[in-house]
Amino acid sequence: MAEDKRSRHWYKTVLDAIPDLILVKGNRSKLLWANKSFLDYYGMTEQELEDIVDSPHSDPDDTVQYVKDDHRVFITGSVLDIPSEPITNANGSIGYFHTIKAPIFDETGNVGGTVGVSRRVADAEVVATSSRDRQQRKLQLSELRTFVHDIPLAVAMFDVKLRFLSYSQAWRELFEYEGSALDGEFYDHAFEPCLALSEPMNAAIGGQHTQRCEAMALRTFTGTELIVDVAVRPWSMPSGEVGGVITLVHDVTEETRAKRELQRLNEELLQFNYRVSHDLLAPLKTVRGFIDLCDDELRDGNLESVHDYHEIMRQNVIRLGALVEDVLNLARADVRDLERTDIELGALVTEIFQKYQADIEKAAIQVSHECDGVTLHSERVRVLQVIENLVSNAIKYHHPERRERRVSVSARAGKDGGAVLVIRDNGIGFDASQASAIFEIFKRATSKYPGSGLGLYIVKKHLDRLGGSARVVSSRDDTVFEIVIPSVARPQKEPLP
Amino acid sequence: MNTKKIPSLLIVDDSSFDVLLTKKILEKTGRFEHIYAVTDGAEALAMFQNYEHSRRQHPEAFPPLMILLDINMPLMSGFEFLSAYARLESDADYDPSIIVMLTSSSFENDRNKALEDPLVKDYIVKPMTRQRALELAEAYGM
Repeated sequence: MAEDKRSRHWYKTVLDAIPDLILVKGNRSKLLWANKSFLDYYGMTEQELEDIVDSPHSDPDDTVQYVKDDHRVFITGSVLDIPSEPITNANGSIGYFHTIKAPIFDETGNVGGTVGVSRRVADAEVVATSSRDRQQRKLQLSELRTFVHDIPLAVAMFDVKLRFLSYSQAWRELFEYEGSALDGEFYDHAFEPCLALSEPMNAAIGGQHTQRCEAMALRTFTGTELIVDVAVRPWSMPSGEVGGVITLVHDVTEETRAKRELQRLNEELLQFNYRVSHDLLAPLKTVRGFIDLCDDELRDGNLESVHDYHEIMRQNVIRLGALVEDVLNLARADVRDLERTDIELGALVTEIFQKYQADIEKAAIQVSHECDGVTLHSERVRVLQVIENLVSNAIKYHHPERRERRVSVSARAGKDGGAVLVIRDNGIGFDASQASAIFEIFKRATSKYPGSGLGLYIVKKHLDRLGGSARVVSSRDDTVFEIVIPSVARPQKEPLP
Repeated sequence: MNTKKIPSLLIVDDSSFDVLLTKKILEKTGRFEHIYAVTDGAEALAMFQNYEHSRRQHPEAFPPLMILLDINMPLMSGFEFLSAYARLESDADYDPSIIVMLTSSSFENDRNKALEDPLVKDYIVKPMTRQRALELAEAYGM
């Protein structure tokens, strides 16, 4: 066929001979090609025109209208007849044109671009009406832009292709955006990875109603993680058509974290309540059962059994007492601002060893410490409890089959007047996989020995309050707890007047 | 009632004191013959999983006519045992054991959850008493 052989040049010559302005645009309203009449009017070369949304000399408010019209052709796939639209030429003067915008379908039947053919309007009355409409539109857009720009909230205004039209200072601050001005930039170029809003914004434009998203993750340009609520509201042109969206991002990080923390604490409290009630009741019920059994045995004259049961009851009462003490200690760990004093760690550890002297002797454990001279200014009650719980664990969980059983404590000065303590034992230890879990509430490394499952949790609570930390390594031979306790500043003496 | 069945009973409880107490009280009623115990749900489950082995271990008493099941146990709780046992039992050709919860939990949630389970026939809050033991023996022909 002869037509097939006609070259690109052939078509271009035909199109360039037409006095109407012809413009082809691709996706996102980007310019692809224009005929000679258009290029002359715009005062630009074909190359200069390529891949921009509009000429820099065009009025941005007019561009908003073009983008909106392109969007409509894209969405509906039908031809749009615009009786009169303003187009600014290279010299900055405005002409009014009757424009037909038609969709260009690709092979798959989707709209791949648009073609606009514009012919200058001669009718003075049509031009006057169009000019008035333009002024009204410019006024409204200007008011909206100013409103968005000045609002003390993180707000931005977009056109239907999600290009920035205006944004507040608070928007820049929230996203920690230090880059160049955003006007005309597409949202997804830089902001979509920070906050995935393209979908709700497109939904708001398509559905013409407000979209709300709660508790979205926002990652700022400097990497700060925030939680935000977002409202995306479509805004309309004077013609009533949706011109784009105004998006409000509300930082709810603090509230959300506080809420989640509260939920977590609540669940923890429920679990705690259940466990403590159970653990307190269990030994009591056992004792009650044995009291009844003792009555029976006494009736039957089995004094020997009564003696055995008496010992069981004693052990249960001891267990109950230990649990009550742990629960009280835990309550103490939550008390704020305990008295701060100078603490000599050598004396403190000696005091703990003395308290557990009977257990140490019974299990034949060699205890030693190298803490003399290391001091710390902190809350004594907490520091004592932390070391005591770790030392008493080391004593309690001694290895029954080892000939030499050792527990040692050493201390050295840490950063800024703080201290680093190492509590080492060669007891039964625990599996390495449990190392991170053992500080959790009710987590126990063994069920062979009785225990409340609160001891190390109490240690952690105190260390959290003290701003300290704990690390633990358990191997076949040794279990080593290393704890870091910072010093708090001593109160300054009032200078004499 | 299958007259061949002897009144055997398995206690599943991690508290050795409670096992001793329960066992003594049951024995004193004279209504239970073979009483044996394991200390965790996982251990009880293993007995059923190794059915033949358990029969050899407890020739006349396995599977037990009744299981007294605690709730709070370190490795496998009573509830976890119940669901695992139900799966196992649905494929087995022996009669399921009568399961009675014996726990120190008097929480409504625990009680309701247990009694909703079709395998659970009763819920006893510890300690086991002579009175309750006799009631069980009456109810289940022991």
